[in-house]
Amino acid sequence: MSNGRLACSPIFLSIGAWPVLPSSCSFLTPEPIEADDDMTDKLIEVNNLSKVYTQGKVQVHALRGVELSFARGDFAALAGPSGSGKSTLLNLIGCLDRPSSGSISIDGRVLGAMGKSESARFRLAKVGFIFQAYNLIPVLSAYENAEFTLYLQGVPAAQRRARVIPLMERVGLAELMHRKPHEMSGGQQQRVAVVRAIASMPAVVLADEPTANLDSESAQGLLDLLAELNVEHGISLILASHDPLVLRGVRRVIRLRDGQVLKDGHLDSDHWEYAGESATERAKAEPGLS
Amino acid sequence: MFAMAWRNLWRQRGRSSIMLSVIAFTFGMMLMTMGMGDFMHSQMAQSAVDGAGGSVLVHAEGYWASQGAELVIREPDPLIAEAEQLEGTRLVVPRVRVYGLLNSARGAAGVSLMGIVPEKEAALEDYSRFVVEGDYLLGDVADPLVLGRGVVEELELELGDKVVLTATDPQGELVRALFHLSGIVETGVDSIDDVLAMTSLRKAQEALALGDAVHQLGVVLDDDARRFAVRDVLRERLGPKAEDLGEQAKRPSAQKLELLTWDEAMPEMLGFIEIDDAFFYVFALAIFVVVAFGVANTFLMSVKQRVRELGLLAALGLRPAQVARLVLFETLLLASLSLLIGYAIGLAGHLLLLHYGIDMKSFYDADMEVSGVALVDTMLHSQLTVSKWLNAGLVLLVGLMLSALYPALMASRLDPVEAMRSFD
Repeated sequence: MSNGRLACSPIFLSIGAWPVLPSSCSFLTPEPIEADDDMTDKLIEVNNLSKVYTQGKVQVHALRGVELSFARGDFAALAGPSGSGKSTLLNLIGCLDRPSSGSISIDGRVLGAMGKSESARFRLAKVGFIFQAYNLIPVLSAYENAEFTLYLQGVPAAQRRARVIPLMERVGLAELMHRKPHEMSGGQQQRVAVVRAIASMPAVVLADEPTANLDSESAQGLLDLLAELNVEHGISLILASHDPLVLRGVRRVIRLRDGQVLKDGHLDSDHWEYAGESATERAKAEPGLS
Repeated sequence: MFAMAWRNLWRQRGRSSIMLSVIAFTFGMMLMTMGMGDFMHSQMAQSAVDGAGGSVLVHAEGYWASQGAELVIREPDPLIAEAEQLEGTRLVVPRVRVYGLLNSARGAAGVSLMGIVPEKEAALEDYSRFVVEGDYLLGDVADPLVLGRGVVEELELELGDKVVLTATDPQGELVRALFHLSGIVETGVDSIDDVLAMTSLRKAQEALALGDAVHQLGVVLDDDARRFAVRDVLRERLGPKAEDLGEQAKRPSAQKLELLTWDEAMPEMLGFIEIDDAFFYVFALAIFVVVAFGVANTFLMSVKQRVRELGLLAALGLRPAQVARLVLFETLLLASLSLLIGYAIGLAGHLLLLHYGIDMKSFYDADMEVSGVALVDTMLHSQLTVSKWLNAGLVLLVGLMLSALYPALMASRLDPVEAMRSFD
């Protein structure tokens, strides 16, 4: 196991409030904490997935027979109105919840049968999370938050520093590393959350409404950063969002409604390709994508 | 994780400070109470040793129960020599003890006469410090007698006055002896001052026709805790026992003896100390339970307030056991800090009491007497028994950690999905 290494000095350009690197510069080598031998393109497979919640005497079908797969390096968004099942799907992929039926496998590992401790270990090794409300740990500094998952993985302090400081510099927070979350803006906090999510080089980063609490400039900056990390380092990203800005910024949009996949579209050159959907239907379904 | 636990603890600065103060103050007060209790018990035990005449008492068999004047140790010198050879024996104090009637020209009073060797008695209760008039058996007065203030007042005596003691000799015959009042003692304890009569051992032996005999040999030890071991060794050496009659010739004394430790001689005193200790422990336990519930409540509130955050930690990969450990770390830190401050409070109180003390007379006007032993010194100080102080801290620490188990368990069972859902 080794940490990421610096391949060039970070030279920041700025898009909005977010510093970015020229796409040719790669200083973050994506060497995962636990590299898998299985290097097939399919990272996540979702088969006939259903989730039923019981609220009192009522059963709520949050997901109904979802079939999906995500390739390594995917940059996808789960879109849909509230209650469509996107967060439930994200929770199930993130091993935070168990399906009622069907199966999910990540990196060849079938989820669902794991106990709480095993699930926690799996999340720590394979999944990075970015939340809507940043969810930084309030008593830790920005740097400590950023290195938290590495700390939990037992990575020695020197290696943690070597991996996290370049990332903090990468997202423009080098000067704010010792600040507590409440001393930072929402955009800054979300950037710390991004570093926390990617520092351990997980197989997939799941982001639940990551731009919902950001102004448009910060949101655009975050998307650009995620896009760069995805392109440069092959980090797989799945975002749950109904923000048009997000849906324009990803390379794949999966539309959910009533717990089912309505549409699954890929950005092919400059066009979204939806199987069997006219341009009018597409515009109606998602104005932001037209 | 410790750093995070420490910072979590101080997020609710007011709440943690109050809890810390409650634990520290309670613990500190408890240590002080324990220190005073230990001092008092130790003083009571010492008074018992002084009053009885030693840590291990040697009498003719049956003397202690009957206090019969005829039950004497006929040849004390070989026994004294044997006892003084034992390791840990400081000295052996002989006493003649009889109850008699003291007559003066103006009246009569019952007294408890002790024939003593003043130099040796000083190792026990040194009555010379209570002499308010005259001398303490050291002057030139012939047939000296030191009496308690109460007896002197009862008989309307003055120094140098003649008094006649009537008592029973070892043969059961009444004997009379003339004494001259040579000193008056006032201990402040009426039960002593009203009956105390002391003369020299030699004079008492002459007056009661005892020859060299005495009623009691008290073995004074360097360490009272060794009294049982010394008693057993002495019992073995001084015999003889009924079954050892054939060996009697080899024994220093050819009579049956009884050997008692002071607490065997005064079981009520030991019982009092044990009951007093038990009351303290029950009292301490009750307070510990209240404090433990307070801590449990504090951490339960803390966990409930941090449901989302703890769920987040679980979502990020903290295992349930690690989440529980985080809460337990917080408790451990709070408890440890509280104990340290509590020890500081207890130690400060101990040092103050050690230096200044509290005069119990100001709270309790009557004689302080247990099992016939009066506490002459009424100043209450403190005694630090390191093992007891450490055990008290350990018990409190374990209690507090146990009280945090439920909040920790609750934290470990949090569903990480809740954290995600909270922000959906």
